Amino acid sequence: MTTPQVKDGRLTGLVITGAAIVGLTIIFYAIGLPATPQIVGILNTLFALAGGLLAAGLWNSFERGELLKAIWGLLSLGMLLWAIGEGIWTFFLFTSTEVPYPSVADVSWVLGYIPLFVALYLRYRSLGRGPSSVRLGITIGLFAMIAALALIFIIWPIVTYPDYSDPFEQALDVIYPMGDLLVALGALLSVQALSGGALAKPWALIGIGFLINAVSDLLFVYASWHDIYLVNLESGAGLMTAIVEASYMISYLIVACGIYMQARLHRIM
Amino acid sequence: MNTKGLSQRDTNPPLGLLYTDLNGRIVFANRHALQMLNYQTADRPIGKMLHEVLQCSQPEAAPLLHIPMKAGEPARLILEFADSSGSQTAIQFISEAAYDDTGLFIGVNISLQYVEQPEEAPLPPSSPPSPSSEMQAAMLAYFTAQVNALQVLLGRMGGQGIREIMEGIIDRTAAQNGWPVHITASQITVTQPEVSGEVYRTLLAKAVHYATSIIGRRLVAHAMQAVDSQMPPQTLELARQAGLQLFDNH
Repeated sequence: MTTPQVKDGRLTGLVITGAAIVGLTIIFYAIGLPATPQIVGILNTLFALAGGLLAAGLWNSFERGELLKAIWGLLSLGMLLWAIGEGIWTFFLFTSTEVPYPSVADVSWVLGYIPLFVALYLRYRSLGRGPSSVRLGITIGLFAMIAALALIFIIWPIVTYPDYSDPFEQALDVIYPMGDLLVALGALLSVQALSGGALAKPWALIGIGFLINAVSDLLFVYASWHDIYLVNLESGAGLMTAIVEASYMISYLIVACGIYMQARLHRIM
Repeated sequence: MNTKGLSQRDTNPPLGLLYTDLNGRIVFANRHALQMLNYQTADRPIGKMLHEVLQCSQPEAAPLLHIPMKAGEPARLILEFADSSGSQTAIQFISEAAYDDTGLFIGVNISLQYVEQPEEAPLPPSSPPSPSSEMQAAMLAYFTAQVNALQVLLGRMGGQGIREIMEGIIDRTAAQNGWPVHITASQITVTQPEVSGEVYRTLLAKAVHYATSIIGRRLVAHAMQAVDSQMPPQTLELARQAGLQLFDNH
């Protein structure tokens, strides 16, 4: 059985545009353009919103009672909650010199994990098959190793710091990277079950996007802890800030591309 | 090999199905197609070029691929084959374009039907097929064609493993209920001459339910309606009467 080749000019155009935007962002950070954090905040909001709206389009294309309607409805809700989180964060960037952390934006981000987890669980369970036990072992082992390394070298030293006064912030330092890893694991397990089919590619993009988001969150936690994450570029351009923000942007873009490919496969675009 | 004009006899023959990729290479052939083209089960045509499988020249077979690809229109061709006794049997091939789910052309779906019954085996006027046997043949042809279409659709969208899950669902449901329907290596076998419409309907509904959960009702309905459009009207009507037509064509 041959797998259809996806040769989509619009998708290619989106990828090139996205890569150009990411490249420009890095240049803006490198030259220390003062408005860069606000620009990046707006772009991240728009990219997360694009993913949410594309997923909503998929939700709308299925009939009431269909499992895929529930799956895409939940994915849309999760992405839209993340878009709201990005929007609130961007609002703070415009209105104050110091972005509060934790803030109400974090409530939106954390709530977003719930529908994403449920959607990916439903997707995986409904396929009726998982990867072979060897593949499953390798995948889970790999994720467990990444999680353990992140815990030992980044998260544990931060959360066990004796003068840490804010338990909510401590919890967020664990929830974000671990939540992203679990979401990515859910998507990538579905990819393995669908291997060889046209649906595997978009799910692979979604999984990779969430995986990059996990790396971004780990870098953010690390950079925030060591005070090298600079919200305000007036105090100088920060390489780590550029990496963190560019990787968030890339992750949202890749997830949105994956959802766009799903929408094309389901012929709604 | 001779090509002929169209003259389809209104019988209720088995429906052969061949699917090709965009280069005209066979990616799927059902049991009826293998029998009609005198293929042995062990000698599957998968991977061969269409003209090789049709045992004709490349220019003769080319319209079956090129007309649907370029014009989006169905193409028809009638070829004569010599059966094992040496007599000629005409088979009509109707090809329709298949598109992937981004709308790109990925090959053709070809239905095969006998144009004329072999002279050695005419239907004796004194023993017309009974309504029951006609219905049985129609239900089997319809069930086989629709399951084949779902197999191909799921294989393309979800991969070989997902396709096998659907086959397993049909096989397991039939086994649990003691029904004489089996799928082995993607080939459907029915081991009793009389099978109730409810059996086919239940098995088809199970397959459709699973396929819908993977790729959605709309794509499944589209694929099954495409099969309906290639069915002989009599077969389609009998299948509809038996309750096998799960998606209305309107």
